[in-house]
Amino acid sequence: MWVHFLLTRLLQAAVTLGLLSFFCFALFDWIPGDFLTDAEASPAVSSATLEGLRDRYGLDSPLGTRYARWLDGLSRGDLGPSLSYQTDAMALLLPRLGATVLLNLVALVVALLVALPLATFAAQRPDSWLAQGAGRGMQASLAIPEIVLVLLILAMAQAYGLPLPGGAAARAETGWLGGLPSLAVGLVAPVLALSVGIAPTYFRHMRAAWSEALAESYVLAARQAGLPPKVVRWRYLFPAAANPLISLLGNSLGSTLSASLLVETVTGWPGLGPLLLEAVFSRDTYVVVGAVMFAASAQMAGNLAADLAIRRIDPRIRS
Amino acid sequence: MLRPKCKQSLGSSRDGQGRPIGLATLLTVALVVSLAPRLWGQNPEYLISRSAVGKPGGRLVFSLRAEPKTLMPLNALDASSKEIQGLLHSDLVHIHRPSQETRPALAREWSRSRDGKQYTLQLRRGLKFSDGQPLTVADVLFTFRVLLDENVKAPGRDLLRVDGKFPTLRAVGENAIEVTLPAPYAPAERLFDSIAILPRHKLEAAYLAGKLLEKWTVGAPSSELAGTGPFRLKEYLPGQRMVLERNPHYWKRDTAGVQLPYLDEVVVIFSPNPEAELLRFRAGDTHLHSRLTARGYGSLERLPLEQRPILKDLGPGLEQHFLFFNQNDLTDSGLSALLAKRGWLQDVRFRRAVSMAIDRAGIARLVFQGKASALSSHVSPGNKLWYSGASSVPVRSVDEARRQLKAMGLTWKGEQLVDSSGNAVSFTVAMNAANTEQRQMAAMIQEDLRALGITVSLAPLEFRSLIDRVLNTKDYEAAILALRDGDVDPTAQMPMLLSSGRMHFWHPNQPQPATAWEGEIDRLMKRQVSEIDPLKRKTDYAQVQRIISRELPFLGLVSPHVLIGAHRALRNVQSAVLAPHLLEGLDEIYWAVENIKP
Amino acid sequence: MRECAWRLPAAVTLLSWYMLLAGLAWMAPYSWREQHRDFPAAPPTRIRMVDPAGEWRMPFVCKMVPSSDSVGSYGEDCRVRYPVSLLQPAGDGRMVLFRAESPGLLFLFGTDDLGRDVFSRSLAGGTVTFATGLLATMVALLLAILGGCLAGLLGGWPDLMISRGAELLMALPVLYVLLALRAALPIQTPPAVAFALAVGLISILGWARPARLLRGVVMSTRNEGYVMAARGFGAGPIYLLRKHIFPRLRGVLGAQAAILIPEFMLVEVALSFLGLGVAEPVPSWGTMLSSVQYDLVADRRWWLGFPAVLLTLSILLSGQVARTLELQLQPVAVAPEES
Repeated sequence: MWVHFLLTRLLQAAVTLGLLSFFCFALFDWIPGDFLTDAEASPAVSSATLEGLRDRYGLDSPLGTRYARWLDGLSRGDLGPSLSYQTDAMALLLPRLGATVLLNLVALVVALLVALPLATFAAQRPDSWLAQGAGRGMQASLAIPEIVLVLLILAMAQAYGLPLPGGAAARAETGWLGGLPSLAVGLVAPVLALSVGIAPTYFRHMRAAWSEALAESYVLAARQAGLPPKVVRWRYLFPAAANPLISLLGNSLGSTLSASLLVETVTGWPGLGPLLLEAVFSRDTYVVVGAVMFAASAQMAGNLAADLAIRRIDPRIRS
Repeated sequence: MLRPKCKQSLGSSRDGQGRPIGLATLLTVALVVSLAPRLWGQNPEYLISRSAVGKPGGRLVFSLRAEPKTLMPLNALDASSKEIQGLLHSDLVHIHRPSQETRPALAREWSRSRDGKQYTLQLRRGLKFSDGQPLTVADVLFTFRVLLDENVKAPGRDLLRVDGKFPTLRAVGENAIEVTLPAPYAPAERLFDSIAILPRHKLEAAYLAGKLLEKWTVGAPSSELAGTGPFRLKEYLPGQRMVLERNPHYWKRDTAGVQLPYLDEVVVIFSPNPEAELLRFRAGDTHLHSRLTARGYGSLERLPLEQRPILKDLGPGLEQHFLFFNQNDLTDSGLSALLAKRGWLQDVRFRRAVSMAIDRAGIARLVFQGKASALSSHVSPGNKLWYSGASSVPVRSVDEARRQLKAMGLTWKGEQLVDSSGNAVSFTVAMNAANTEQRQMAAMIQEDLRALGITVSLAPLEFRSLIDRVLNTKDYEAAILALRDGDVDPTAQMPMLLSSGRMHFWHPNQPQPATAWEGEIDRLMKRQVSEIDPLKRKTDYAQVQRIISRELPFLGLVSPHVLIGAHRALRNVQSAVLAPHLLEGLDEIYWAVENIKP
Repeated sequence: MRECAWRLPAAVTLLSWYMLLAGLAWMAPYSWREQHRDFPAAPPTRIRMVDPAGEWRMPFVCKMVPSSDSVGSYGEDCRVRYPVSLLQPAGDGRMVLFRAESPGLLFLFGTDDLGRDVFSRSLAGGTVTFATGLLATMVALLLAILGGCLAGLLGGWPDLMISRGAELLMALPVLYVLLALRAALPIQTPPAVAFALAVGLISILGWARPARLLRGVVMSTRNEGYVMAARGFGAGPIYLLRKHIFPRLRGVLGAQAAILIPEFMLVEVALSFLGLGVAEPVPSWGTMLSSVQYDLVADRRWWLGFPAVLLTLSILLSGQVARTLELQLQPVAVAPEES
């Protein structure tokens, strides 16, 4: 049964991705200007050279041909060339993808570390000042738009010398290993901006699920049977409350690639965000399509994983 | 570090970097000359820098707005790639940015034939690429062969076109190259600037295989690269940083005989947004800032003295913001809305009225905090060699502007200016949405023209769609653009000034000059190119500037000052209004303090 | 049916907040386009009660003196005082909230680079941003109702088409699509039309999520006993929609509206952040905030961040409303919510 489910979903995802990529191609075809428009405004390049370059980059072949060529490349794991970087889009995207995933995972972990303990506490003692305060704080932080948050962080960077990514990288020793401390320092600002946005959602859902679980009869029974609180918590409460957590996790894992674009761009984290923005502005079609493909497939994979996990855990859905 | 004995270039009077020759030097020279035959081939004929003698060592960090797109000089179109290229490679003849004049580089000296068509360039002896391989005439010939090869499609190729044809090169003896131009060409020496001499041993195989442009992409390992610049690539982490190290085979020395550059390492980081760039510079994370905004500059000026970096206001640069109106012949374009406005939109009196109503001083003060100069023509006062100063900046006068409009037969209906058929005089100004300053300028012009009863709407557009409209579809009424000149020489302006030019913004690609004054500009510009006498060229170009400020095909607004900053412990900081403002002198810069291990 | 039990206070608070902004915008002390070119980047004017001699007076402002050496720094000359008065009639038939006696200047939240009053512009900008959010929400919800009901009622291939289409739209990076579409628009369009187009674009891209939700509700309603019964009695689709389905949708729509309005307001802000929002000189919170990063970092012109405060407040209020509406929809699922 679940194999059929999986297959259907995968098929649907493939169709969606195909349409999406074609849509992106068509869109870029439609916008005025192409990659070489910039060179057109440069006195150094003659019209003949421009024509030659258009030809070399295949910019003057019809949309259908270009899309077919791209699909053909895709079947061999080739996302096409980056026009501005003169290299494979894949080679360009992968390191940035890594940086973006790293940033989002760290932000997620930080958000979970803050939100989950607070949420369970708030569910158990809803009237305590800490629970009340956390509730309000979370509500407020949900309301702060990402843009404002980033501005606040920039203001902090200005006032208290909060390091921005890259700046410290310049200070540290070169090389990957030597770069680790600076990497960590550079993570501070973007992680802060991101996790403030992530934490409230988890807090709210987890608190609701936890207090619901607390009210379940078998939990009450387990408590009254005198089981130690630890056992009650991990054996009964946690599995019951895990359901929303899992689907949320699936969602956030899926949306990692698109969630942090703005934060990355403003704080200068070397992820997909700045690259994608640059690529859109420079009409670097293949890089944009590649990035969108990554983001969309991550999204679908996340949702699918969440659905599968819930089917496994929640017996009602399985049957 | 290896410090070979000082050996001064015999040079020539043209080699402007030499010092007055003292007795001791004479003796040395005599000694060197007698030993020369044995030394040649081992030690290069160094160029001796005349900057102050500095201390070797240290690392310097600076940031670029964007990552370089390629490490292949042939293919560099974007500013970042060009800036990096300047550090990794050298040219034969170099435009010394601060003085805007040509200086010897890999070529020790050069001479010109009497008819102005032939140049003979003497290569320095004993030059080596950063990988230790010798640089010979063969490498120079290879470079030009590749650059001029039509199949390679190098964007820089067209810069070498003289009178529509390309120069030819041949070797003369072991160390000289003869360049033959198809026609006399006044700024011929400047052609060689920024043409990086490429290592044949690294690239020839790829060139013959037709895969040259697949080499030296940003992901290329540093072992594949070689150049003659002050630095060579050490490592590159995409999206994060690029580390350059000293090139031990660089061809410059200081007067104490120490091989340049002084710096051990240069680290380039990338900050796409200006505020992060400013923050980092202010915090001391980066050590150079070559494009400070007026406000960033002000904020650094307010720092306490012990934290304040070296700051310089170099005056107006070569970047000019200007407003222009669509002057294309729109008869068959089908752009009916534009056609209806053509009567006044393409009238010089209208442009004069608009020009007179614009508060240029206000733009300079409000948008650029006073760090900009008002413009009268297309040449910025920052162009030391060619700015004529013949025409003064229009004095703002709303009354005079109204008189001009009235003379055109436009009338006012209430506050609103209307044309003869009673339609409101209104137009849309397009500008680059990403350029905050242009948006602000446009908002000011909008208010200025409201005082004349002209309704102006603003359309911020993404840059490429803006250019596409202006140059291709011609579907716009007015636009604000910025010009950034690469070189000061008027020839660099030809694609814009010639009526047949693709970048003749207001009316590109004219088969015949549409107006008499455009024909006159064509004549003057074509004449100055093949004129060898600099004074005559200057007169011609001054005349062009006068025509531009009379006919106003575009209304010069302001030219922002070039504002630079450098860490206060850096010495020998050279700065220039010509790009790359600060990076130019990176081979001579040094740290005045020990252990600035930032 | 319980869905009509709107909890009024929250919605009313939200509405009155925007009404207040719009009303105040009408009573703003300065025009949003007036450039005080002698007073660029002025910090908020201090309203004083004590004069230099130490005597208490009615509120007044001192004369602002631009410093000669740097643009954007000012001194005060308190020997010249201009009394401040509230609710004065302006020349043009408006009532002005407050003003300093002419020729005194009172910039409650300072001025921007071009010397325009930030307070007046924030109020006017709020109405623009909110109008964008509201209109885009209405259009998007209309599209969503159409799509959702069609998909939910008809099922089969229309459902498949609409659902996949919605999924496709949701997977698109919205900001970039907007950017692209905006670039392709004709530029000679008057500001009002350009604004309407921006709204249209935002809503065309935003209808997918509510449509999916609505489809779900329609489908579950369709299969409920009483609806089945009605169909059994021969009720047509129009009747079903009107009598049984729309009533069920109302609550979802309310909650979605409360969620979408702030979301679309933020899209406007983000679009302006990239320089492609409402064109100058018309203010919107987005355009006002678009260069505020640099203001904060370079000159510490904190007062230019004032629209951010208003924006946050608006989002906070909207969030509150959305939650109360959601609570009424599912009183059990999210029971122990904060008050």
